[in-house]
Amino acid sequence: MKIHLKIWRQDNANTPGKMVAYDLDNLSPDMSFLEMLDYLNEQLAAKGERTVEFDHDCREGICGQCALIINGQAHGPEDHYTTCQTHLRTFKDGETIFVEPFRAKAFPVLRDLKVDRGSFDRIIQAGGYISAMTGMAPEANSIPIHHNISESAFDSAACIGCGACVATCKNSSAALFTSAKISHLVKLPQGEVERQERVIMMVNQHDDEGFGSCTHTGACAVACPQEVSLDNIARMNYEYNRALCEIDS
Amino acid sequence: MTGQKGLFSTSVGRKNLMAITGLFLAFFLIIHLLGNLTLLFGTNEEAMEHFNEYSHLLGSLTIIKLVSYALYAAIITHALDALLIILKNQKAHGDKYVSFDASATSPWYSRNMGVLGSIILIFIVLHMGNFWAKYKLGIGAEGLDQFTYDSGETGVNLYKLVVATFKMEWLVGVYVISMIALGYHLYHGVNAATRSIGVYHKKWMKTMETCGKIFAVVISFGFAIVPVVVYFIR
Repeated sequence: MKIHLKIWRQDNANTPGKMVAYDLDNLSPDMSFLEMLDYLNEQLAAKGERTVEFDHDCREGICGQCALIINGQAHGPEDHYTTCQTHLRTFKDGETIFVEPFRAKAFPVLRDLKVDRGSFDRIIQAGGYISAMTGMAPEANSIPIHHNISESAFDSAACIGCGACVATCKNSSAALFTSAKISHLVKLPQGEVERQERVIMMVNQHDDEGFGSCTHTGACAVACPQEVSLDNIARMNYEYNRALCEIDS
Repeated sequence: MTGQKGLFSTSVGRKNLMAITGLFLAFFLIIHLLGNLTLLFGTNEEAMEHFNEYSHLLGSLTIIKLVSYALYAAIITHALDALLIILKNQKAHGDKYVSFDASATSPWYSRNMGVLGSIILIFIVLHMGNFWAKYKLGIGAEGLDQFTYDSGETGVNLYKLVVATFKMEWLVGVYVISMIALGYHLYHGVNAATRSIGVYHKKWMKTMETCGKIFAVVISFGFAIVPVVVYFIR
């Protein structure tokens, strides 16, 4: 099949970028989107041009590295997919596809389609941890946890930190990411020790990184490859208000 | 604790303020609508009697006076807080997308709460100019009919003022359009507000979503129907 690409090319964070057109032929509909970009890069390299830089790692939809806006949607037109799991069969033969990096103040473009998502790491550093004894690993089942609660915590923990929520949000808010991390830990007994300070530190860090606030449009949860629920944000808001009431008492 | 910010200064705190003021304003709409509905029933004389007496009763209660000050404060806070949030959110944006399909992931009204809110704010100013300024402040009230209440006091005949106002087609149109904007604002806003203040229980979130949507439809339809009915039957 044939594809017309319009790809965002930008040398570094300080230079302006622009869309550049590339035409590809002889593509298989079963190619993944990233394989198609590999194919393009082979052609560019053969011509001695600078290849298109993009983030990727596992290519199995679990690591959260790949991150593209494809035709105006994070990770492409299908809901709850990562870019690497998007295949060319999703597109029409001869279609023009726009490819852009995730855009937010807190996600500066490093080059082409690659952005710096270090702001997510700093939100985790601010409070996404638990207190644990050092020494021997404790017996795994020594703390009984109800099955429903462990499942619910795991649903929140499913977030792979790709940043599609931020890229899709009209306010560039990282509320879904931050709330998923907070909910994941607060639902479990192990997260109880830092319950109050965690939510306050992580929300503060979220704001300091320059992310916007949540309007509950629900766009993030639609774009999320892991189907992390919007309900996590309501839980974060509850935890935040509760923490403000409890923290100095 | 280090780094703790004020109650309403973080992204979550600002939305708390929006939610509390918004829910208060939404609750007020119920009381307002009850008064309006008296315009729809009975003969012209009965409707005039009920509507004027109800308005006079509300105007003479101290608690209602206090609530009205709270309402003015809530409207101003809701609007200013929205402005602050919008300004901060705009700073969070990166470069604009060349191609972006926002409609694929969220409904249009949820992304345009600011536009809908601005329409409502302009409407409130117009609406208070139409009635409140004449009835309460006497601005432009020269030559308006007077009404004698059961208590013997007299005042501007609000019923006749309403009927005369709603005989202007363009104004009825403006009122109906504004109520459609209000409907969509509530359709998203009531449910979102409950989430902002942290209602997170699965069953309650579902209930709040359903109630918020029914509330929005009933309230906006109820308000929109009044000028239309008055135009045709009074």
